[in-house]
Amino acid sequence: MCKRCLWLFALLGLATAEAGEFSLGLSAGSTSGDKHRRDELAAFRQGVAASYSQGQGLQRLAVEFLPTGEGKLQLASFWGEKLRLVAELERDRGFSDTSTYPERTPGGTPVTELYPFTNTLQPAFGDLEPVLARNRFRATLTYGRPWQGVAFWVTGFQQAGERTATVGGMAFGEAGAPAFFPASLAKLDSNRFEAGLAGFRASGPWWARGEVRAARFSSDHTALLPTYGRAVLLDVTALREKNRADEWRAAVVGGYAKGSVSVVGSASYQTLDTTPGFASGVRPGQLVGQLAAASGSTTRKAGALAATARPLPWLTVRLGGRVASEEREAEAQERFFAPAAGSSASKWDEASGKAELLARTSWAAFRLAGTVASGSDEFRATHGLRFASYTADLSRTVVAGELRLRLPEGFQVTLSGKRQRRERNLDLKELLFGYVLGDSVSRAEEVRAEVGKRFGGLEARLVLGGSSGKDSWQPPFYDPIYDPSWELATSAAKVHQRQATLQLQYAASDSFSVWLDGGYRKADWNFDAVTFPGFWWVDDRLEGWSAGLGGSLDLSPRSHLQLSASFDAPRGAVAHRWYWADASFVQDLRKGLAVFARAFTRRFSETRYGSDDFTLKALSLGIKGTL
Amino acid sequence: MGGARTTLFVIVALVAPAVRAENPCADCHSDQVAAVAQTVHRRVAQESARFCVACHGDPAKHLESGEAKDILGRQALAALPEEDKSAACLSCHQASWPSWESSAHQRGKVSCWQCHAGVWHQAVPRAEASRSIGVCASCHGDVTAAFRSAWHHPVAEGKMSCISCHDVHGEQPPEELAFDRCAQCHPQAAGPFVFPHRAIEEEGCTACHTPHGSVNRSLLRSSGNGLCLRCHVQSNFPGVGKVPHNFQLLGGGRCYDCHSEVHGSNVNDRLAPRLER
Repeated sequence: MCKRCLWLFALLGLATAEAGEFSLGLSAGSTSGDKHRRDELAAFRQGVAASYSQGQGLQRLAVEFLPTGEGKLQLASFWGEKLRLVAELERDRGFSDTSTYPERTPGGTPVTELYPFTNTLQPAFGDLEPVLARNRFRATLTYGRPWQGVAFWVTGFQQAGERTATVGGMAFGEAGAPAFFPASLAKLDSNRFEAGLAGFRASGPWWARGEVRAARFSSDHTALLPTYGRAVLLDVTALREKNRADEWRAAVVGGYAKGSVSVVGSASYQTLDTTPGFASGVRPGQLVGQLAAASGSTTRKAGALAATARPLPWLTVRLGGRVASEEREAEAQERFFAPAAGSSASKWDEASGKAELLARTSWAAFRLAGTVASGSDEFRATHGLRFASYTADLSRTVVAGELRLRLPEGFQVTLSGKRQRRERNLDLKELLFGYVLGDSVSRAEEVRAEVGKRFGGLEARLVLGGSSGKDSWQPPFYDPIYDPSWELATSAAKVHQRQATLQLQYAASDSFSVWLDGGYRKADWNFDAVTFPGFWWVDDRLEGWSAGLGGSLDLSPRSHLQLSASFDAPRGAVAHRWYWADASFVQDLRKGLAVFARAFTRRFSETRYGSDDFTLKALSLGIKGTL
Repeated sequence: MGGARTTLFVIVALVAPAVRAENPCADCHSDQVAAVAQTVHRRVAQESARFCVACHGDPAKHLESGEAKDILGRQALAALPEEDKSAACLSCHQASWPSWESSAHQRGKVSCWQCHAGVWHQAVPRAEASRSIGVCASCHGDVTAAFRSAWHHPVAEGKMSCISCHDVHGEQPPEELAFDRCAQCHPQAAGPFVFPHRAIEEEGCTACHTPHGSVNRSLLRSSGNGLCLRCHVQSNFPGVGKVPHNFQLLGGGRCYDCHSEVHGSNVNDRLAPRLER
């Protein structure tokens, strides 16, 4: 008997060992408005969906197929006492828009003022539907038990297809000024294969795990950027970045845990040998490889140690430290259009320490944690005549605290806060025809308060949160400086965010429940205007409501109804309304069978410029049951 | 015929559960052991008392007296501190989740039972617990709201789950999170490149992206140039630098229309291979 037949019989054998659940459904839908602009909704187009599952946990078979050509296969099985196989195969597809900003550019300029009066893919690429498919495979074979054994695994990943890119092509406006919004296309083709072996053992208070893995991967990304003249397509610039890498990684981790004391330590080592690539051309079919003598290597090393002790029943203290380093080098020689040698190298060293204190009583819990990290980054880059070399010292401190209280009347309160400070000091060694960021200090604070209470079957929770951040930058370094009369000053970028969310859940019984959560958020991005004379479209503001509600109800002992809906309506720098509504109904029949129906609608409406407006309505009908 | 027998043997070997009732607890608590036998723990529960002892403690006194008070019962277990509840599971699974002690869940007093214990004695299997956004959403409601954004990772659609990105049983530094997890599905952005974008090296992907959901395409933090100007605040300064950027940007242009290789470039340090053409 052939091996394939053997596998098939094995799967069927698993399938017939005990009852399984199946579903088979038909979907049909209609779209209106700006069709093909929100094409990620194409996942709901008409077709047949089917699924079958049997068993649970470590003895399981599940198959799923969707109308979009997506699906998954999961298999978990034991051989004998200790040999276990878990395998998963998944395929999903991402459906892309055929334009990025159909009517107006993000800044509000009507597309009709650009040539060729459109911002869809069609003029440059014809009628196409960009779809990106991702296939994943993972199989793990384990021998032993959770406390002692070995595991071998292989994983595979493949990505191939097209996406509409956010990066724009180029067109010329009425006055001949360039603009950048005609839709462009990205083609992707990536693969990754990994194999690994791990061993683990726990014996009394000691435990350890070691693993080694090898991987080979390649990524291939081509951006196709059209350029339009007054009335015709001038050309399509094709830029293709490629990378191929071989990776090795080894890691060990072990620990000791007994009574109120535990210690954990780990070490890891990783190497990456890479072959960078780049090709370009004016048409996808005319790509010319540009790089010669391209190579790269990266080495990462890390070690960590942490200890936890509970000196008192209500007090836990934890101390930890980590050291890591990374050395990276890469170089390439550009051969044709702008011959130049390029290279960059960096050496990164980091050390961090962490202390944490947790106190807990029957009515309160308190946590205070602090992290201090410092590192240095030695960097140099060359491109033709351009050269930059610097050493950056980085430091980061984080302090976080949390207080949980159980108050009278059943109230539960959680208050938490976090403050971070990050400093980057640069020691510029050399700069020629280049640009390097200056020193910076960043700080960020965030606070969160949560109040919850249960009123019989109703559970309510209110969450308030906010954050604030400020990045202050010293003037960057330029060479050459064309206009010394300008004096650069320190400038800052600020971000403020606030959010309030209310969550309600009511379960009267197993046969009836409703839930609601809704909230309002507001965010501002501000920059010191003085450093941007004439600069346009920098500050951002965003606010709006977001909410979801739903419920489930047994209409009768054999029929069940479930409803859910949500909307998101930001306004400000971005403004749109995004609605979802779903309703599903299940009616049990005899002999373990049931029929189901699902109706749903989605609507996306861009409101700032009145551009995108897309509605989808769909209906699914099917049967499910037990075989 | 011989082939058919071989096939039958393989099927039986694959599917037949190895039932070996050697757990002494089953002598008196057969219902409980039978319930566990329907879960992922069925082997360990059937072949020894190890599974029972992990939660209920040393049974010596209970075996001697036969009294319920001499062993940790349901109520006593429910009252245990969360870290002690986790310790019961870790007595077997510690090597599988070596960094649990430093995980945010452990620090936040979330025990294994809160995600995995759906029904008493019926631990929710890993797959069911982790693939359902509902398990995580019960505490992380604000994240659930982010997934309602117009652009979001397809978690609600079932194409991925929270554990596709998050190591819920351990701790991962943010920059490693980006390289290890984001690169799994977005290898074209991971490099390594000859000229990497330093922001990714220092801060990871979240320097520019909000991974759960965003009002902006590509899950960007901001749709405008503010995204880049957060660090490159004075890049546009007139007369400084080689290109007076105001000319391009006054028309509503975005930085990455020219500096298109935002994740890194193998060609030049300005991340703008188009400029060399």
